[in-house]
Amino acid sequence: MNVRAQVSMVFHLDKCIGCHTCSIACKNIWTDRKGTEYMWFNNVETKPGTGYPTQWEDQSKYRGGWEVKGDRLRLKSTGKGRIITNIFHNPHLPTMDDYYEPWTYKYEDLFNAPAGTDQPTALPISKVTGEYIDIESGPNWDDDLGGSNIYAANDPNLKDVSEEQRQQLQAVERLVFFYFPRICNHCLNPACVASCPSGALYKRGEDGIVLINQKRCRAWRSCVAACPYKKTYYNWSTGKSEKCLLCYPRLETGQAPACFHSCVGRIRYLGLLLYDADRIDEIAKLPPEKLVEGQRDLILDPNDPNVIAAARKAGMPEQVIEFAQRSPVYQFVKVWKIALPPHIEYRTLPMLYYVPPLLPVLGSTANQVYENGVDAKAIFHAFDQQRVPMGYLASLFSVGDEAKIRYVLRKLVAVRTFKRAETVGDIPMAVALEALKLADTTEAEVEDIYRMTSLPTFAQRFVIPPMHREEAIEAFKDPQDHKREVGFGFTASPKRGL
Amino acid sequence: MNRMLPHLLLLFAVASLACVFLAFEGREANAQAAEPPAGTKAAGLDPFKTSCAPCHTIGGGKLVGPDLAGLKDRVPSREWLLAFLKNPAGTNDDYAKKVKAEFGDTMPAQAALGDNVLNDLIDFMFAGGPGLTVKKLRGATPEDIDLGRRLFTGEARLANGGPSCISCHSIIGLTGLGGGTLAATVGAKHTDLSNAFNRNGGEAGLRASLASPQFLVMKQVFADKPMTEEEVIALTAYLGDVSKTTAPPPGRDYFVIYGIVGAIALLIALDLIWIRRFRNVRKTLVGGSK
Ligand code: SF4
Ligand code: SF4
Repeated sequence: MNVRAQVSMVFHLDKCIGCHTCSIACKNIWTDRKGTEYMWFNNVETKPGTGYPTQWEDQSKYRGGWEVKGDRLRLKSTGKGRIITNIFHNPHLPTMDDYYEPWTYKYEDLFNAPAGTDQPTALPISKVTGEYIDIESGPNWDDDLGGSNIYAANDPNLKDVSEEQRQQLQAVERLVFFYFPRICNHCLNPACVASCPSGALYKRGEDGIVLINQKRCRAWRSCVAACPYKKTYYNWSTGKSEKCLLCYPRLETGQAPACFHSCVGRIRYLGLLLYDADRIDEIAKLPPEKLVEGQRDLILDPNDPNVIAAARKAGMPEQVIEFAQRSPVYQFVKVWKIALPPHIEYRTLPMLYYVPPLLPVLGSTANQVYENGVDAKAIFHAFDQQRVPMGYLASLFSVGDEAKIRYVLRKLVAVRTFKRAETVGDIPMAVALEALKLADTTEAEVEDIYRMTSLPTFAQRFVIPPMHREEAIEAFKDPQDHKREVGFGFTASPKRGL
Repeated sequence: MNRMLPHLLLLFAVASLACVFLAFEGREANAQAAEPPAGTKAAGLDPFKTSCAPCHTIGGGKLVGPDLAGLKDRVPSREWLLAFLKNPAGTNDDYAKKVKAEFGDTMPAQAALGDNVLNDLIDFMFAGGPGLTVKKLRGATPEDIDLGRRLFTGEARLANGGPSCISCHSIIGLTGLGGGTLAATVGAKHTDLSNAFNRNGGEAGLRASLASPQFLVMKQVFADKPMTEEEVIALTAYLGDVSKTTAPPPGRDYFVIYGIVGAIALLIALDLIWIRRFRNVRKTLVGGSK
């Protein structure tokens, strides 16, 4: 057993209100420089929808992630041999149009326009070329189902959904969407790291954050093609690629990443997971239907004496083990089993998990009156009558296995039923207890889930371990000297060349 | 150049018969000159062989330049000849004009040899070239024509490692892509050798030119890697044959056509190799549903 720690995340989709505060917080800190305007380390997509970049989930086009060839894993986009013919022109890169061409407005025209009979207008100009542009798309063009007959209708997750259900999705009574906030998943088996011909990407040993060394990056852009979540971006100005760094400078000083910190819906949780690094290869090669379970298996119980002993032996600081034991992510993923990885079939073993949303039920229009729910009297619906087809959620979070989604939703409904019976009392307790049994849960667990989803404090949501950077620095320098000499932050701005 | 080519070739075609005829006459003359020499080795013999013999004989008939037999009685004076050797282009009295009218203003200046050597040369020439033998090469056979073609195109390599002719020269209609045009860029007057045979004074002249090239670049290129006698015979035979048979030009520059076709084929091949490359997603998606 090779115990390692990973800073992991859970996003509870039932709570996301789609306000994009997280995206703006991130952009203001990291990607408001020249060349980064089009990058969104954090973005919030409307689902069904095609996302950003358009249809990123369609790997037959983007060729991100891994595939199993024989008994080996290989990257879909590149490889030791394939890189030779493709290094000067990577054939699998998204075009700028698939992200969007960033723009601003010529605001000075509002002040400088000569007096006339009409209102002055600020025309859009490209932030890349500086020319006037016709805006054709944006990073969130299909927000709240905008243009859904094109965008939502072409969501790659709908491929397994029957034609009839697809038609119904467009009907008013069935119209439905939810938000899907995305950041880099800081994967356990990161395709981006594996693809880099310069070895510029690395996964930090102490916390598993995946970073790009700006000094070693040589602009080959292999990571851009290889990441199936399209979460590394090429900066055309500095000639280096950049990606979400999970705000590691904030984490190192005990603060939550900016998008977590600012999240209005409080949907985000962050904490440590311990895992067995020796088994990554074996798990990443499992057949698709076993991947979700396999990854869950990889995560170790931080209270298990064997795991603790192995962690100590691997040199893990005592505090880190303690923080892992208090991790909310561990509860969501391993104990309650209500958080699932996004598109684990890409085999990068993402370490950001999602609690799938409980979406509104079907409406019915009996007697010319719109009734919320097929069975008007039921307070909580049977989720098979959810507006979004179960197969859709399964395509996102469980490689098409609807049973795994049902398991989660049943538990979420059980929590609500139980709390309703307890606090409002219009559902008989007997019914609630029956629901608990069906959902494979207990009163105590339901109480825990309720507390963690509805009432958590800041400190419960973000259990940020001490990062022990001083120990990492110690390897090459006296940490005290390092602090005095270098201080914090960039010492040189990234730019082209060596 | 391309527009001139048809006219030039027409001219070649008309002129070639006459020229070949002349060339064979030259060959006869050459044969006559190959008499055994008399007397001891003269000081001017070696410099004559290297610097003059490629274009001149003494009593062997004219090659590129005039036969120098009887030179002593022809030239105005010894001083005139010395000045002429040093700077032929700059000598323009009546006699010089007459010579140039017949042979063209192609004689290279020999000032670099120095006065001593030039005087030796003049003595040697005035003495009628004592000790000068003209090696008689065997006559060409039809096989030589084929060997010559293969030597020209590089199918057969030159024995001493010299570059094949086609690297710098072309012959109209020889291969699809023609031949090299490098000779133009290095300043030679003639890259197309279709008519080299006639230009260089027929078989004897061309053989001499090939055996010891005097052209600025060829001289250096072949200095350490001279062609063998057999190669000289074969190439001369081939060029002679070409000068007789070259058809009128096809009227198009094949190089450009092959270039365009090749580029298109390459682009198609690249497109097929990278057929699965990423093109775009959003544009097709939105465009397709408009
Ligand atoms: S999400 Fe993409 S960029 Fe982030 S670690 Fe995984 S493969 Fe790399
Ligand atoms: S800030 Fe939170 S609630 Fe708002 S969009 Fe982002 S993840 Fe959703």
